Amino acid sequence: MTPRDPNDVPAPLDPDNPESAMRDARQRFLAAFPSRSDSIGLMLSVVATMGSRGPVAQLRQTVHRTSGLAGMLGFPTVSVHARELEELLDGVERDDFDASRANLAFDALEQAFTDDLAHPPKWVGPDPGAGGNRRIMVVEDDEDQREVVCINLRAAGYLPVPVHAGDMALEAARQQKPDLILLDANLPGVDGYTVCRLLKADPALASTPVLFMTVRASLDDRLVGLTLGADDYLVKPVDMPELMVRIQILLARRAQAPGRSPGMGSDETPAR
Amino acid sequence: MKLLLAEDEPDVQLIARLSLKKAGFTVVTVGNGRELLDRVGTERPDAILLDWMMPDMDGFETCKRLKADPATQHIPVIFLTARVQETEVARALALGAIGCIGKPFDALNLGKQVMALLAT
Repeated sequence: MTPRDPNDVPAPLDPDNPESAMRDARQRFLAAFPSRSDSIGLMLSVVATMGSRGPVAQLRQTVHRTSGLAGMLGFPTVSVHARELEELLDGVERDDFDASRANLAFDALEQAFTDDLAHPPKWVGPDPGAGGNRRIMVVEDDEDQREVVCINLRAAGYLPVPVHAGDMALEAARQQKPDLILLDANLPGVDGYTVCRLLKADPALASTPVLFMTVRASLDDRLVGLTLGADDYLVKPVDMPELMVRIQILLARRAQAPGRSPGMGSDETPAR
Repeated sequence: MKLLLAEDEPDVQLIARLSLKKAGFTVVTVGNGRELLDRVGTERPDAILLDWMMPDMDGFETCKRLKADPATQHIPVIFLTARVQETEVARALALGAIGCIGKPFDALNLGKQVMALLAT
C-alpha cells in the first residue's frame, strides 16, 4: 500500500492565495472552537456572578475576536451571536447586564457552530464539508450500528473502514492507516479499552485520534477511556450530525498538531 | 500603492494582506497602533488601514495621533471595524478617516472596497 499523509486536509496550493489562507485559518478556527467556546462559557458564568469585577475585558476581547474570525471564515451565524453577546457585555459597565439574555446568546452561538459547519461557503472547496476521502475506521460489533455509521460517513465524503471485532482492530489499523478511529468499548474478545491502549502504545498509530462510541455512560467509564488516550467520548445513542462535527474537529486539530505538515501561513503568522 | 495595515488578529492580518496583495497593493502589516506609529515614518504608506479594537493602542487613538502630526496627517485612514453604526462611523470621520469597512469583511473583495474608498 502506498504510504499517504493522513493529514491531507485541503492543502494550500498557492502561498499567495487568500482563499488558501482562509481555508487554513478555517481549519484552525474549527479545531480551536471547542476550547474557545468553553472559555467564553466559563468567563460568562463568572461575569454573570461577579459583574464588573469579573473578566469582562478578556471576555469581550475573546467574543470580539470570535465574531470577526467566524464571520470571515464561513461561520456567519456564530459571528452574529458573538456580536450580540459582545453588545450585551456593554451592559456590565452600565450596570444593566442581562445575564439571561447573554446566556441565551451564548447557547445560540454554540448551536450556530454546528449549523454553519453544515453550510460552508463556496471558497471552502468544490465538495465543501466533505471528508476528503479520509479513512475513518469503525470498530463496532453490532452490524446495524456499524452500517449506520458507515452510511453517514460515506455521505459526508469519508471512506469508512468497518471492523467488527477488537482483536482485528489493531492489525487493520496498521494496514489501513486510518485518519481517525471510532471505537466501541464493548467488543467481544478484546474490548475497546484494550484496543485503545494498544493503539496508543504503537508509535505508528499513537497520533491517530480515537473517539469512543459506547453505551458506557458513567463518569468512571469516560475517565478510563480518556485516560487511555482517547481524544473524545460519545455515549450511545450517538447523534450523527454531532458525530460528524466531532470528527471534523478532531481531524482539524490533528492537522494543526506540532510536527504535522503545516498549512500555508503558519510560518508567516506572527506570534500573538 | 503601499498600504500600512494595523490588525492584531494574526489570521485576519494574513488574509487581509494576501487579499490586498492580490488586488495589487503593497502591504506592510503591524499588530497594533503603537507599532504603526513607529513604522509610518519609515514606510511612508499611501494609505493606512486601522483595526478599531487593538491592544496597547486602539485604532481611534492611533488615528488621532496620525492626524495631529503634520508629517502623517495627509495619509488617508480607513477603519476596519465591527461597529459600523452611524455614531461610530461619524466618530471615525470626525477624526479624519476617509471611511470604514465593516468586520467581518468580505476578505476576497477587500481590495475593491479599499480602492472604492480611496477613489472617493
